[in-house]
This record gives sequence, C-alpha cells and structure tokens, in this order.
Amino acid sequence: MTTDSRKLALFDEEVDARTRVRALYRRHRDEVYRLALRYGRGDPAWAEDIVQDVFVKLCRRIDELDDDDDLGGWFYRVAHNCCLSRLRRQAVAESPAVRWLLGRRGAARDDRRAEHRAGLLAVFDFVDALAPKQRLAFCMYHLDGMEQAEIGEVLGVSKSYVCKLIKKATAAIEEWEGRDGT
Amino acid sequence: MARSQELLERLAAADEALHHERMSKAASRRVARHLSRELDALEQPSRGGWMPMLTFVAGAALVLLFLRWSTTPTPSIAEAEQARPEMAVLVSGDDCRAESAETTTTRGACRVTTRSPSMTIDTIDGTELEVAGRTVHLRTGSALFDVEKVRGEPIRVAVPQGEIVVVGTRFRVVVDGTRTEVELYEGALEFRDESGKVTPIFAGQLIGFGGTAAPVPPVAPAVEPARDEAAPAPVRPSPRSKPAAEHAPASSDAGPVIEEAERFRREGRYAEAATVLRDALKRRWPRRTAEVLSYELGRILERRMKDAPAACEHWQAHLKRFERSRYRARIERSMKTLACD
Repeated sequence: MTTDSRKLALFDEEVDARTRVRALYRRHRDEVYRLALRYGRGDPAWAEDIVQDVFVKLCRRIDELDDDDDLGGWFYRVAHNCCLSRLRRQAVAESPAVRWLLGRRGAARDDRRAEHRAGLLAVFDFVDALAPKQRLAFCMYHLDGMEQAEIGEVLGVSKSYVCKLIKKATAAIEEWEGRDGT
Repeated sequence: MARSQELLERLAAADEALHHERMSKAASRRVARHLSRELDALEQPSRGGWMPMLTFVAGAALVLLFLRWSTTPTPSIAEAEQARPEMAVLVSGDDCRAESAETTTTRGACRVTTRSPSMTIDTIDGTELEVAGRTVHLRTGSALFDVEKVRGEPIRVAVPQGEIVVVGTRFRVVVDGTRTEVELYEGALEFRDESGKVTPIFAGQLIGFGGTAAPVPPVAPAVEPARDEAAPAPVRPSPRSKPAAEHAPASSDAGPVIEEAERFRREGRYAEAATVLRDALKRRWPRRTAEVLSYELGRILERRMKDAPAACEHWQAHLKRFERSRYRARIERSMKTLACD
C-alpha cells in the first residue's frame, strides 16, 4: 500500500472495523493497562488480560460505537467492569472453600505478586482486603476524583449505593488500620 | 484519621507511579495478534450454521444426482456453445481498427464490450489490445476496464511485465514500452509479475511496474457506455469520460491535505480542518479519496462544529455527488437525526 493510501485508510477510520480497532488500540491500550495495573496490584500479566478483554469487547461492539474520538469514557467504564468481573472470579477462586476443594494453597498468588512491585505496592494491601465493588468505588472516588453519581453510572448502581460502598470501604480500612496499629 | 489520610496519600502516590507504566512491546503485539484473530473470527460466518447447511447440501446433491440419472446426458448445441469459455466480443468506435479470428485484436480508440462476464474496455489512440478467451493482452497504450462481478474463472489482463487478475472492478492500465501502470478506482486487484510474485492493488492506488515513470495519458473513451446493450451507441462525449478525467491527477497529492486536516482535527481546530477539506474538495481527486474527504468534512460539520444546516447541506451534496456512497446508510441516519429536509 502506498503511503498515501495508508494515510487515507487511517484518516478514514470509520471505513473498516479492523482499521478502527487498530487505531483505538494504539490510542487507548496504555490507559486501560494502567487502570488494570491499579486493580491488579501492579501485576502486568493480570493487566494484559484485562486489556485483551476490553479490546475483545471493543471488536464485538465496534459497529455500535460511532465517534472514535470520544470513546475515553467507554474504555474507562468497560475497563472497570472487566476488572470487577475478574476480581469477583478471583475472589471466588481464592475463597477457602474453593481452595480446599481444588487442593490449592493461597500463598502462591502472594508470592507471584511479591515478585512484581513488592515495596511500592505494599500500600495496596489495604485496598486488597476490600470486596471488589467496594475497591472500585473507593479508588474511583479517592484516586480518580469522580462524583458518586458518575461512579454509579460506571458500576451500574445507584448513587446511594455508591455512598454505602465508599462508607463500608472506609470503615474496613479504619478497622484494618486499627489491627495494623496494634 | 490522620493515618487514613496518610494511607490515601501513599495510595495516590503508588497509583501515580503506575501511571507511568506502559505495556511491553511483546505484550502489546500478543494482544494485537489476539484481536486480529478475534476480528477474523467475527468476519467469518457463524460456525453454528454448518449442520443445517451440510444437510441442505447433501439433500441438494441427492436431488441433482437423481435428476442427472433421469435425464438425457447429451447437451443441446446451444448449451454446448454457451459452455464455451470464450466471451462474445463487440467492438465499436470510429477510429478503431479491429480484426476478429480466433481472437479479437483492436488498434486505436475503441470500445470493446463483452458479455458473460460483462466487461467494457475503452482504449485511446495508439493502443493495441487483444481479447483471447478470458485473457486480454494489452500490448501498448492505455485502456480503462470496467468489469462486472466475474463468476468462475477470473479475467486476466496480460501486460509485458506480468498479468492482472480481475474479479470485478474498474481500473486503468497504461503500457508504455517497458513500463506498466495500473490505477484502480474500485474493488481490488492482484498483479502477478513474470516471476509469480503477487502484488495486491487497492482502490485509489496508482502502481507502476518496470521501467521508469512515464507521464500517464488520459483515457478518452471512444463511445458512450452501453454496458447492457449489444448495439454500439453513437459517438459523443461520454459521461464515463467525466470520472476518467476526475481520476487524472495522481493520488499522491492527497498526503499533505490529509496530514493537515488530521492535525487540525486532533488539535480541536475544527473550523480550520473544515476549511482545508473544503478547499481540497474543490480540486480533482480519485473517487475514493474525494469521497473520504467529503465524508470527513460532513462529520466535522455535524459532530464537531454542530452546524446542522451546513451539515445537512453538505450531506445532501455528498449523496448527490457520490450516488453509490459507501457511507449512504450512515449519512441517511445522520440526516434523519439532524432533521434535514
């Protein structure tokens, strides 16, 4: 393909899904990756899986999405929802009952995590103790500075429920602090 | 509480540190490959439908087998003639010299029309062309091909440097001594050189093979298009000559325009991007380039500048100019949303 044809194809991003997905992947992969790193406690493999999940969803919905220049919000929402699903699955897989049934030990995950960002990300320990939805609401509120109503829109819950999630998360952290402090 | 605040600050610092992280190149490529496979799978027909399809094919095969056994196997003469691979060739044009034997050879400004598959070839003075079965030999000169969707064996255009495989498209070929140039207006083509190397050609592309670049003569069709009529039409300036003339400038001019419009668009300077595109559209472009530029201008007017009257006016002009626009469905949806008259 000549340079001009390539430029024309890139300019004309709406023409075919493949070109659009490619352009959107280049533009948004890092921001999705960084969000996923936050919820995956800095685990690159975990974050890559989330990036893949998000962009697979994009491939399936590309025809419904119209304005490629205005998909930041869509990526933010889908990335959070993918993280939430994965955290929930992980929580189930790591529950004592399932671990006992599958004969797994819980330490393996911690070891793997320790390899990645041991020092810096130790602060995420207390966020890790929260339920998945609480964790997302707490981080969106305190780290992304989002309003409760906006968080409700992303998570698909009411504003009052978001308020409750954040309060519970704060209470859990205070309790954790108390335990840690003693 | 102070400790909570401190924890939040540490959390924010850790999150900030993660903000400088980027996906590794290997991971990025791995995900990109996965996405490519995903898109391939989405483009394929669903796998769930193979069972009914198989049943249908098996049933159809049984019926055909039964019919074949119960009817006479000898084909009629007419059927036998129709089964011949050669195409019916009709040549017209005042300045055209044609010889027909086993093959049809034309010299000069001619219009060659074939049926099954339906194809029109317009040549200019100094062009020598031979139609032999489904292969067209372009010895020298310039020819504009307009080929309907070909079923079965593709049409081949043989040139000194190789051959062009055609399954339905509109393109121009110029053979000038040792150099061949192919300009594709619609569809897709493949160029196979003598060594068997295949070069795909996409719509809007102008590609040259062999020799050094030579000026490309314009195609002046000899007669008005009469694709579906056996009789040649009277000689007069052809509507087909308009798109041919429109394609006269090389597509290589589009680069700076695209770059400039893209830069303005990214910087949010939509009025300037629209001006660039508007100015560009006053010039002559290959059809696809013009269509993309015009569509982009409409999008900017509609979505960025929120100028509904201008957008409506532009979309109407766009649909008028590109009657078979690939964006027609989207534009009509937009016009409905904008409540254009």
